[in-house]
Amino acid sequence: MSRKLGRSGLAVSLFLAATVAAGLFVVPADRLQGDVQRIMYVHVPAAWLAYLAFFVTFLGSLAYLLRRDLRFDRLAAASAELGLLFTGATIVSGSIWGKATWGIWWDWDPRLTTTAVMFVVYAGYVLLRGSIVERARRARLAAVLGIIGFVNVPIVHFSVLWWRGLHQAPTVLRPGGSTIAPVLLVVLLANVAAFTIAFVWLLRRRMALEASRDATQERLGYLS
Amino acid sequence: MTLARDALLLAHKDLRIELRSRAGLAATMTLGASALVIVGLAAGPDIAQLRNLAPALTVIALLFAALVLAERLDAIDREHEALVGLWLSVRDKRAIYLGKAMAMTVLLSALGLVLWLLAFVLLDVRADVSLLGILPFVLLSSSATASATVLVVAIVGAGERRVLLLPVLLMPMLVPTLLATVNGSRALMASDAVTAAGWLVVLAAEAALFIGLGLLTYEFVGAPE
Repeated sequence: MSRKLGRSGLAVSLFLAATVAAGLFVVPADRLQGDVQRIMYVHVPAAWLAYLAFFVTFLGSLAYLLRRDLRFDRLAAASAELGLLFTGATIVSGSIWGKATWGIWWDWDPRLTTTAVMFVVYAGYVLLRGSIVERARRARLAAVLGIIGFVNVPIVHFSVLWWRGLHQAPTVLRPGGSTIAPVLLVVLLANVAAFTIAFVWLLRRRMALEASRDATQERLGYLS
Repeated sequence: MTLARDALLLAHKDLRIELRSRAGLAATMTLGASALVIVGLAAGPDIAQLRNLAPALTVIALLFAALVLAERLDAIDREHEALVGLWLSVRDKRAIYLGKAMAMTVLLSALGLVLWLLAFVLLDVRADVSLLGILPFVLLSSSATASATVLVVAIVGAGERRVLLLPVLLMPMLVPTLLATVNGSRALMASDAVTAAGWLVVLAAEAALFIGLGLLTYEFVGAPE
C-alpha cells in the first residue's frame, strides 16, 4: 500500500471513529429512549449510504449499457458490494435497537421486510457477477440486474409512508422540517458525512482493485 | 405491428409445444398440487387456519411451479441450438421476450386456476368467493410472474448457474407480486371488494413494470451464449 493511500485511509478512519464516538459517548441521550437511541448515529447513515450505493450501481449499470466502458461496470460492482455491506449494517443495528425498544429482534414490518428483500436482491447481484467468467457478458448481465434491482430502493424508502408498521416515519427529510433536537441533528449529519467519505474512499479502492484484476486477466489472456 | 405479430407467433409456438408434449405441463401441475398439499399438511389440520392461509399457499405453489415451467420452456429453446436460430431470425428481439412472457402467462394462469380449484376443495375456501372473482388475480399475478421470470431466466443463462441463481434472483423480485396477490385475494374472501380492487391495481402496475423493464433490457441479456 502506498504511503499516500495509507494516510488517506487513516484520515478517513479517524474522522469516522470521531463522529461515531461523538454519537455514542458525547452528545446527550434522547429524553424518551435513553442510550439506545445512540444506535441512530450508525443506523441512519448506514441506511442512507445503502440507498446511495445502490443508486450509484444503477447509474453505473445504465452508463455501461449505453457506453460499454468497463469503468462504469467496475463502479456499479464496487458500489453494489458496499451497498450490501451498509444494508447489512443497517439490518444488524436496527435489529439491536428493535430488541431494546420493541423487545424483539425482528418484526415483519414493511420497512424491515423490504430492506431484507433489497439485501437479498443485491446479494443475488454479487452472486451473479461471481458466476460469470466472460468479462463482457458479466458486465452486461449484471448491468441489467443493477437497473432492475434498483426498483426496490424507492419501495424501501417509502414503505413507512405507504403502509403502517412499527418503524417510525422519516424524522429528518419530512414535510414541515426535522423533528430532531439541533445538537443531535448536527452529530447525525456529521456521521452521514463521515460514512459518505468512507464510502467514496472504499469505492475508489475497490474500483482500483477490480481494474488491476482486469488488467492482470487481460495480460494473461483471460479477458474476453 | 411486427413486434406484436412476431410475439404472438412465438407465444403460439411455445404453447403448441407444451400442449403437444403435455409432459411439462403435467409435471408442473403435479408439482404445484404437491406443494399445496405438503405445505397444507405442514400447517396443520386446523381448517380455519388453512382457509386463512389459502391465498399464500396457492401463490407459493404457483411460484414453485413457475420456476419449473420457466426452466422447461427455456430448455426446449436451447436444445439443438434452437435459440440461436430464433435470435437470428427475429428482427425485433423484444418479440422473443414478449412471446415467451405471453405463453408463460397463459400456462401459469391455467395452473393458477387448477390450484385455486384445489384450494376450494382442500382448504375449504368459502363458496361465496367464486372462481370468477379470483380470475383477475390469477391473470395479473401470472402476467407479473411470467414477465419477471422470462427476464431473470435470460439473465442467469443456462447450465449450473441457472440451477443456483434462478430462485435466488427471482424470489425476492416477486415479493411485491406475492404480497399483492395474497392480500387482494384475502380481501376478496372477506368480501371487501374495494380493498381487493386496490390490490388488483397494484398487481397491474407490477405486471406493467416488469413488461416494460423486459422490453427495454431483453436485447442485452437474451442473446444465446
